[in-house]
Amino acid sequence: MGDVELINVTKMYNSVAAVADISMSIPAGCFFSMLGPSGCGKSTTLRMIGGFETVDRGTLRIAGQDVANVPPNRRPTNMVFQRWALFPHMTIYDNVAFGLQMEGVAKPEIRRRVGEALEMVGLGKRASDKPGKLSGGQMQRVALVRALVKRPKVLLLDEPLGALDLKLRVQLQRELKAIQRQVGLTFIYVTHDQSEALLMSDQVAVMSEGRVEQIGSPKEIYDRPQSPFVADFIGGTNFLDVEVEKEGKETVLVRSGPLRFEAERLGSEQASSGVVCIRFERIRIGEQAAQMPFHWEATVLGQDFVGSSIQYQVKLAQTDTNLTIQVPYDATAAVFQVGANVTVGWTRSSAGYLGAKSRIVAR
Amino acid sequence: MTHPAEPSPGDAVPRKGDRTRARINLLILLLPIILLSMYTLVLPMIIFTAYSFRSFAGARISDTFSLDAYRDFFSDSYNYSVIGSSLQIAVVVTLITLVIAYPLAYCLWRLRRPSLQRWLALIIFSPVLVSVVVRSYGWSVVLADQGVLNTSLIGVGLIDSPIKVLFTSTAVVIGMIHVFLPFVVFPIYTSMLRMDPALREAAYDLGAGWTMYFVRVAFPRTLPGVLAGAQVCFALALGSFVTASLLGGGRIQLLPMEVYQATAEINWPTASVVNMVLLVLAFVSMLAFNRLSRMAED
Repeated sequence: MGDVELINVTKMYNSVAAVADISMSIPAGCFFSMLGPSGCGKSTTLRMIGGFETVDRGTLRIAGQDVANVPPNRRPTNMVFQRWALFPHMTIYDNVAFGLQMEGVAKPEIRRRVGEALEMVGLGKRASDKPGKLSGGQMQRVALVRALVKRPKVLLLDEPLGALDLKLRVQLQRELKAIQRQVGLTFIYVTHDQSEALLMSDQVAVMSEGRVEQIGSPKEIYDRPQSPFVADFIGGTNFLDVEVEKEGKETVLVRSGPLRFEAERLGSEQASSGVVCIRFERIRIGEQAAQMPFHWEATVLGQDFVGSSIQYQVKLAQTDTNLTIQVPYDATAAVFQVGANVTVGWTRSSAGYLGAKSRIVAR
Repeated sequence: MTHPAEPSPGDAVPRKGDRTRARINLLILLLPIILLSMYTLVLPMIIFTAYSFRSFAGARISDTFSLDAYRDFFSDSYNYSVIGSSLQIAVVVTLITLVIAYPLAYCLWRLRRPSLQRWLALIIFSPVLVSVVVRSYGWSVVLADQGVLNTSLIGVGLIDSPIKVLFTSTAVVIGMIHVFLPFVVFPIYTSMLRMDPALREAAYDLGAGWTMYFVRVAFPRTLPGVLAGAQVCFALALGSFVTASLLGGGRIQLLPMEVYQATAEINWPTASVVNMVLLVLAFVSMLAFNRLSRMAED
């Protein structure tokens, strides 16, 4: 049983469902991310767990208890807010102590716990400063320990790194993950940044339009997307509309114009047509491609150099099919110019087949 | 670059000529208000200050320097009681206005329907839209012995004979509160608008109820607005003339009325002295409020 359980939870805003009938079970001690574009319902779901939004339909349980009528100040959850929401008129110490004072914890213990918490994030010396004097990264750390010091059962984080620049974000992502392991709490993390979710999470729920598209480990989400949305939202993916020639248990033989190849089955659905997704970086180009079980001639239409890699747009010969290919750039591999004729290819495990239903949604 | 007058992005430091031109432009924009306040504020102040150092005897103003006007004013104990009641009324009006204005501002802030919000704002602002004289006579109709207040109180049987309100300091205080309310509500409301709504959720999230949220978070955050409103209210109350004379009926003597009476007798030196006293009181209160706001802000 999960530490946090959502069963058919729905949230309406003026007759529009912001969150539509979602169910998930978040195990205790898990770093769980809700990932999706803005407006997908991830923040609303988090705010329902925190008690800032009411649940219109369905059941929400935290640590086995139905929390429908429990206000935020009585829930065993604490939140790290998007822009941290530190109290500007209080010192860092008072900010962190606030939650413990509300609980009526004895003064010496407050002093000890706040001291320890600030030490943990290296801000012991800034205790008497006001938040305005801190940098973004420091404020983020204060917001984190202000919530952690309450020793909640579940810590909720609403895009807490969104306002920081990239370098600092990556550093804080590692810190957050380390702190989560250290304290062993359930973290529920909301983000629209796929790399953030993949890097930190044990489990990721990909959301779109108020629904959960897929829940799984970062690797499952990346390797075996269950819908074109997930394949498209995370990483770079080519989509091919295909006809099914022969269905196997694990593999499917598909055809797209003159192309015939085998693909891994991602869903269990039986259908005569569907969509195949192939990651940009799983397609080979040039000499390597010729050794692939499925390979074709193609023409380079475009070439984008992005530093660590090169992206090619190619058109497969005798088809209207355009593909994007990403190859790592190590300064030794051959670089193909626009107009060059090349061989491109992939293996069976690089192509994933999704059933007919996906076809409409694909583009 | 289609606009050569604008500094291009490459120009990190504006050239000296540009800066001088910018300063001249600023000066041109400020010129009307500078001239106006010179003529209507600074110049009269200088003249008044000069007149306060003249003496007045036999309906004539002397031409020589004299401290008589000051000496006369400060040796009369009656004047101290006028200063006292002026300050007292200003303090009472400010305190009561704050007590009424704060919940009003809070309601205005928490109202979710924009149409209701607009209506409430208009109602709060309405006293300012009515002329002082009309408003004051309106209050005398309400507060008179045979007025709306007394007849309805007698009607419900709460009192047997009319209570005396009109031409007392109570009437003056009520009249002033009515007018000064918007000047206090809006600064407080503005300070509430500036507050990050997430602070409320953060306080609740950390275990606070509404009371603790208000005491520890909301009120301290709105204190600058409270002080700004109080400052304006206090200064207005101290200088209020029409409301005080019409609702006080000549029985309530305040500093601005002394100025008026002295001026009516062409006793400009005395009028100037009272004016100087008013000015000093306003200035000192302003300094005190500024000090408090600085403390509230950090």
